[in-house]
Amino acid sequence: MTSHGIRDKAAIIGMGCTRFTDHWERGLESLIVEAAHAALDEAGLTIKDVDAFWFGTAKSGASGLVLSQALKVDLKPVTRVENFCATGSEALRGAAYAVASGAYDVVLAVGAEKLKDSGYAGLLPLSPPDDGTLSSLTAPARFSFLAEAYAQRYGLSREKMKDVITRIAVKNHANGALNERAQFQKAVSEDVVRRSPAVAGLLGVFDCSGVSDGAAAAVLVRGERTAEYTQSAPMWVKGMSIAAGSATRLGDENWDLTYFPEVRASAADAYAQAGIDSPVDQLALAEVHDCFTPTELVLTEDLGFAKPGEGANLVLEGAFDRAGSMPVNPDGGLKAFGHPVGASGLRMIYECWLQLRGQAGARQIEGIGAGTGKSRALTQNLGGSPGECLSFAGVVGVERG
Amino acid sequence: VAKQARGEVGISAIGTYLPRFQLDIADVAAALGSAAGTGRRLIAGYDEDTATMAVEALRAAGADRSQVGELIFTTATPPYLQRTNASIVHAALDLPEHVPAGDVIGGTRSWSTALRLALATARRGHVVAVGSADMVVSRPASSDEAEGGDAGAAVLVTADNPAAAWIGGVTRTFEVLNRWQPPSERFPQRWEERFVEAVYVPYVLPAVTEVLTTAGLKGADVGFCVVSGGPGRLLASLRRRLPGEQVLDHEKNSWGNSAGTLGAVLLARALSRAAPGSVVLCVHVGDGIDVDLWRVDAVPDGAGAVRDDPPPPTPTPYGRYLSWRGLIDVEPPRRPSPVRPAAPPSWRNRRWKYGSVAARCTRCGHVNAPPGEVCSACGNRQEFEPQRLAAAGGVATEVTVDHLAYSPSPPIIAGNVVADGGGRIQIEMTDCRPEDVQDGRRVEFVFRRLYSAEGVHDYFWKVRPVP
Repeated sequence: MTSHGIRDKAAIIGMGCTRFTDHWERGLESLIVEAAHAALDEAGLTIKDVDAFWFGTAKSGASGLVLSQALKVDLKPVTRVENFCATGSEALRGAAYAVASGAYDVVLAVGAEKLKDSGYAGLLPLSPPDDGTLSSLTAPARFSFLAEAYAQRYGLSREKMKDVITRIAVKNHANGALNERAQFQKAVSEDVVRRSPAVAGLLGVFDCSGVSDGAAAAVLVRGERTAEYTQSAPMWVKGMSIAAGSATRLGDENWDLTYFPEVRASAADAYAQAGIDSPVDQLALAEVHDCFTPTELVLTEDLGFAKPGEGANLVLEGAFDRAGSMPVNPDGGLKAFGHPVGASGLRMIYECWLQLRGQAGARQIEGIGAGTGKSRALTQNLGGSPGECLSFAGVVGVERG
Repeated sequence: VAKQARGEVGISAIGTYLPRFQLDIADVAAALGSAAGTGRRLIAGYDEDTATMAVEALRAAGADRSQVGELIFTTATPPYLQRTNASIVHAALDLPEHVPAGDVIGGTRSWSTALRLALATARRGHVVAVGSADMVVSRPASSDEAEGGDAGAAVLVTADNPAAAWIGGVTRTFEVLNRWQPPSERFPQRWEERFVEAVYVPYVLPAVTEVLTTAGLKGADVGFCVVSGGPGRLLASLRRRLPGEQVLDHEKNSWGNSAGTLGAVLLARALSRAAPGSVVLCVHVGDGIDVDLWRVDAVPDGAGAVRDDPPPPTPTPYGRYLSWRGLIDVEPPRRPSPVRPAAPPSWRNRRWKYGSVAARCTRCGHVNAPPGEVCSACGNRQEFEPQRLAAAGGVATEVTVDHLAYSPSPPIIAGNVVADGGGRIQIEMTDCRPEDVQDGRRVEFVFRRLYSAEGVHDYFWKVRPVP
């Protein structure tokens, strides 16, 4: 496979993100408007300055008209994208390629989702008519197999496994407690996590990400022309990759559900594009797809932060805490920030934007950003479930080169 | 009784299916404050119906595409009123399309009607599979509910050297209102049992004498005797008056009276235990009577499994039973209700959906389940051979319990199952409780009804722990 990447050819010059929560009083339109205009305001641009739009929503509407109607944009190119839970990353990817190619000067990427209007718990499937043989398992059940398989392969007792995933939930809630945009802004004890009602397998309610409403947006311009638009520090796209699995991996007896080949492939590609060869040494932070606590455990290994089987102990040692050697999900992650599907990928980028530019406030990681040797950050966004999934990995950075 | 000349037809294989759940009738009174009843009965699981139970009984009898030439499905309680239910059974057995399949549906005597049709058809040289199943779903607290039972049974009928030969029978047809249920009603009803006994007994006794006399036999020649099809009082009366050893009368109170299928279950049990040379007398009642005589020449195929006692059934609370039958409406998980399976994809994928037929790549050997156009291991697009997952068992390598998913009976238990013949699928587990399953559990495939929506039953395969 040839993958050239677009390192430094696209840059973000403004971002916006709503709070992720139960927005009972606001519709999708209101969330889109807030995020889009916040991003434009930060970039010092108006909606009229935008040449094209990439809009991601998984299931809150269809077509680019959802965005053009919300923003009252007339006769401009609007592309709607959907790639399961990686929808927001896909919107960024399209927008970045659009400016990098030279097709447009200013592009707005928006991801938005309104999940709480359905009245149901959890995410709802996207269901074309089928033959009734497809699994009716919910996402937490599908991801709970990771914990079963990991414990079996590496010889962890179920109690130890529960300790590990509980620690991940506690960490992400602690981070969310410092984030005014997070859905859950309260630290929780291990006891609270452990005692939460059972959802699937080893997972309780506190092992699951929050279903919420929200939107995030980014203004992108061509990488070499940022100074024409803004005097504040831009953030360049260093590498982006999507790896879609053949979605038949459950049928492959050689794959044991303790890792995501899709994640490994997307990370390898994005790292190569970005020039990352030692992630823990070179990355300031990682925003990863902790849809359920065992997912984050497996991702730390697939992204190269731990050797296979060693992630569990590193979790318990605090390596992925905000003050740890490799901070993971300092904004609370899907777990505490919430997971409005189409917005999450851009929300991850938003945290990189704040952290790398020193604007993360109470949860700011020390010693990162331009001139520190840690000017780059990773986002990883997963769509689907183990065996039937696709992974986005992206590296952004606040230094060129 | 000696074996006769060629030209006889009879039974070559038998199978029974007894559901894994049991109702204690005392729980009915406790729940409803009704008059106290006694005894226990078997109840089908929430994901079973008469088609699925007939499929399991037929599989136990060895009914497969290698030998079945014709299929008859018989029940008083079909899953569908207007469509051929036997086509579902046919598909689940993965029978070839040239094999005819039809329903014999109606009263409690439908089983023996089907069996006689099979005998007539088998004379033309076909092996005829007869699958029978019944679910007695009656008004709560009724004696029909307390006495009833759910079960399936099957036989293979052949003219080629059967293990049990049919050596005679008579029929009496007469119109009498005994037990009935029009399509517009939810439950069957019964006439007074003393009336039913008074009408039937005087028909049965002379008919039995006539059958025995015609065969040159006496009452003392009868080994096992099977009576079925009527209410408990009539059956008890006939058992007292007829010759032969009653088959498993002692099980009546724990299995229950599964209407017409009781006769099929008891015939299979009799044939599984009868000594070669002995005679089995069967009396089936229901809007008339059928009396049949069988001579056992050999042990039929499948007898071992029929003879074995099934695992002890799981006691099931009455409220849960009522919810399984849709007789009380229980709050489901806060999830969307399932939508009906669509006809076109169900049709296109019928060998997978109903037959569990995956695609083995003949180039690399990978079993693609579900089958696809392209081998997921080697990319081959041309060379596949069918592989039926249900032909063997498997191992559930990882198991989970989904408390959130919609199910007619939450929670859903599911596992990643590696099939013995190759292939792995994520599939629902059934007939078990969360505490019964662990990673690494050995399982067998069972044909089940996952849910029903808009009048469409969604059939597919599950696995259940091997006892």
